[in-house]
Amino acid sequence: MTVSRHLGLLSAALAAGALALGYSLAGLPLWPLPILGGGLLWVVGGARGWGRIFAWGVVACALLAAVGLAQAVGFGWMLLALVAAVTAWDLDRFAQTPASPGRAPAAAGRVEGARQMERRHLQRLGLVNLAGLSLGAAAFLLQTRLHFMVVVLLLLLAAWGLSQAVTYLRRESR
Amino acid sequence: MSRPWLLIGLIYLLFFLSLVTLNGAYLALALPLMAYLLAALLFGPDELQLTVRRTLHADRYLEDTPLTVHLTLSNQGSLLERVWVEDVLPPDLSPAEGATSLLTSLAPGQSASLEYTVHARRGSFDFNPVQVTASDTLSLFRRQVTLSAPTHISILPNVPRLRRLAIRPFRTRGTAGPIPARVGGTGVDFYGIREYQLGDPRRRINWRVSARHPRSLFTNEYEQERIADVGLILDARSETDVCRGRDSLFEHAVRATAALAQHFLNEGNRVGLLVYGRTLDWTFPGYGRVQRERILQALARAQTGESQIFDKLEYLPTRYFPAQSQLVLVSPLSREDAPPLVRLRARGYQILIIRPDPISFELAALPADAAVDLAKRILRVEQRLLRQKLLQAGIQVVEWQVDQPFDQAVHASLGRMPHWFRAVGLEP
Repeated sequence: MTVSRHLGLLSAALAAGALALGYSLAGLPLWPLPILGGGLLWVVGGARGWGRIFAWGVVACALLAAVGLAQAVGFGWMLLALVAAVTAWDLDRFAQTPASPGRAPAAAGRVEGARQMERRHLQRLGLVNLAGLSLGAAAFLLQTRLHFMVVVLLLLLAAWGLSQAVTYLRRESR
Repeated sequence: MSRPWLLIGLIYLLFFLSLVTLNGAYLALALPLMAYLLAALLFGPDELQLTVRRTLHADRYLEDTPLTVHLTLSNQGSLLERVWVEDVLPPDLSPAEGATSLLTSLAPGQSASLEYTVHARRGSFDFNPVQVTASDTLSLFRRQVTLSAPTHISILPNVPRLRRLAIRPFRTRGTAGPIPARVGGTGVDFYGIREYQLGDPRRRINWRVSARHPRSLFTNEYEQERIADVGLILDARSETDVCRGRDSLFEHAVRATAALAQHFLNEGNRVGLLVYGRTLDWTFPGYGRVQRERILQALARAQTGESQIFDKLEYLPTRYFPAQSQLVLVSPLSREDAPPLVRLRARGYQILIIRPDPISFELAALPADAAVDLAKRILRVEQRLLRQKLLQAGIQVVEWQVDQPFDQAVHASLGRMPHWFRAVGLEP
């Protein structure tokens, strides 16, 4: 097992743990146990290489975080859980690519500088996570009331962003 | 669902929840996902400006010779954090050593190279374009290009060496060569005696005969030896081929044809080749090394096939071969092949058939039981009848069990007898 794979499983456990702890601290005793069970399944499935378990994991984590926010669970735990889930999902993907040093050579072909690639990937992911956590926390702490027109503008911006993303993805998948 | 779609879906779900519940925390929760997406977009690859060059040491190889392929990919664009290069091999080439794909990162102006060795069976191959996929390190967005690097290689059949073969076409060409021309003149082999003519060298006078005829002199004549036109015909009809796992009788026939072509060309003859199967692949007759190469290239691309027109030898185009020349057919033969061959012989062609034995070839892969034995006996009888029919028509047939060296089989039937052997009339 490589560093990425270890970190991926650790992140999955962290995501499930953060969710469970958040729900527990918010006084919702029915939630933590199933969440921890799901987390265990996620980690075991990930270690055994079950296909798409990490994708399902990140979706479940996002949904649980959303539900948690509705149930007045602490934002910090939900943010941490979501960032950890995205990290696990990303590292699982990285561990499957040939750049991962633990991959079998036959499946991988030849890889030049696998260690450097892994290091660069972890650095980039760390920076992205740090930025995400900082932005999320800052956005949560600095909540302001926006004028209706600003909200409309933001909505239009979001719609434009979505259309740009869809156009890009369609062009790429062609 | 692809990874970008999943991420965008989650972001918009949180956006939607934020708007519906008018709760900014959902929006704040979407920010790490957006940061991930933005980082991937920011560092994602630009338009790929790559060039690829594939080099081989030669464009022709012999069968079973490992060939080394060298692939160089150069980046003329911006930094590519992850580049996956894959050289997809044609189906009949199998990698022997080294990897056919490479994952690397390429700075602007940098190159990466890939070297691998493949084993190839006989054939004519065009390499596929090279597939290149580039992405950032998060691997969320990719760009894929197919780069053309046209490379063609011919894997020529192995050519076994043959000892001297005796063929006697009805007509030879004007130039001196190794084939008895059925014409008296200067040569090595005794041909006959004729009355002395002015200018005949004295050493040729047959004094014994002359002594019996006091008033005249007689001189010995020798058989002229010249080159000839040899037309090789390779039977590539699917119905006459027999396959045994990956081995096929046709491959042996191809090697035999290559050996015959090389032998006849080395002796100075004019040789042409017709591959008779799905289509007619005709190599115009010629001499020497260039013609040898042309024939080997034609044999490299020869494949068995089916055709409604050429499923019988009826349509063997005789106009390709000079009248009364030597034809050599390499074929396992089918039952219906005797009449057209007999007709061909009647038109004045000297025909030699090299027959790779399909029965023994197929039997090697079958279990030894009573049914197989009975089938073998029936087929042998049929084979004997076919052979007899051909021999009666004056067609030479050389049976070749392909597990035996071709030279050995052909030399036993066509090897030239020593002079003294022929002198006492034991020539076959």
